[in-house]
Amino acid sequence: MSSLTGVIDQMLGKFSQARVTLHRLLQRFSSFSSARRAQMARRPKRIIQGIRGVDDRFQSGHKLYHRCTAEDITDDRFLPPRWRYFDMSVNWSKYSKPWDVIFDYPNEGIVRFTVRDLPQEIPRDGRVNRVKIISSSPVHVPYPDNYSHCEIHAFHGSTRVKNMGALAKKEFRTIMSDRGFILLRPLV
Amino acid sequence: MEASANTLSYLTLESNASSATADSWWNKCNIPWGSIFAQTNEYYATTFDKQFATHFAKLRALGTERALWPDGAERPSRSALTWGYVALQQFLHDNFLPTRVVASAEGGVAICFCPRRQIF
Repeated sequence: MSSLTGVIDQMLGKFSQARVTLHRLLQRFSSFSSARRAQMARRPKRIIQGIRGVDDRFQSGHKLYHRCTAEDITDDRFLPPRWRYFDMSVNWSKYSKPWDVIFDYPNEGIVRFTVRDLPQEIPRDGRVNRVKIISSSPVHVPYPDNYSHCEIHAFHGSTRVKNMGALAKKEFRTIMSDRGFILLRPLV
Repeated sequence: MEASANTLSYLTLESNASSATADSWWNKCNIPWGSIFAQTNEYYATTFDKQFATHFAKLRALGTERALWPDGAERPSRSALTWGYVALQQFLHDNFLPTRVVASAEGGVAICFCPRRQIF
């Protein structure tokens, strides 16, 4: 990512951050209810699956939202060792607002990254050292009560892998930590 | 500082190695956590040392408090906790203060050194 793109992305992130913070101030996030039906009723319609099927048409600029706790962040950075490198759950901006990701967790925070931020072809010197080259991409895995739900899967070529080498893991986490943007700080 | 750090021989690794479960290991472990904080009021006289005391306390809590583990992650293994402790002792000895001590997403312990990110 060029430095100009990085600065623009940071500025847009700041705007989103202000928007989400304002949303938290103006409208208290809906809290979890024991009555499932009541809970479903209060969920925004945009995240209810209904009859919609799987949609894998991701664009590089689409945003992905992941919830975080105070334990996950320091200053304005999501700590690298706290990233899950396989099957990480995220919400997709195409079908949700940033605050939908913490619908059931009103005190948690939101970290945002884009599809293009996901690490590709790691580890970087993998071809030289002949280790398994891993790429990661989002996969739409809708839930009935959260249509925007996606998971970050790791691939070797076109084959999905459940594990990756130590160096790839380290690079994945460092890259994600560098590129993740804290939209909303957690209250707990 | 160095003389004080040398007094921190809390850990007897060999005697703990054969414990059956992480719980029993953690409870019976020879690390005198209480003494770190009780005996060392004068030892932890500076802010720097107090910050280290916080890290030791956090490491201790990682073994038992589920809220500190990432969602879906395993509890930090006892070897991870032990090595985390050894590493922290070394950092204390070297006057090298970590930013945070956290449970990692795959049952480990991470000692983090994070620079502040500069924006614009």
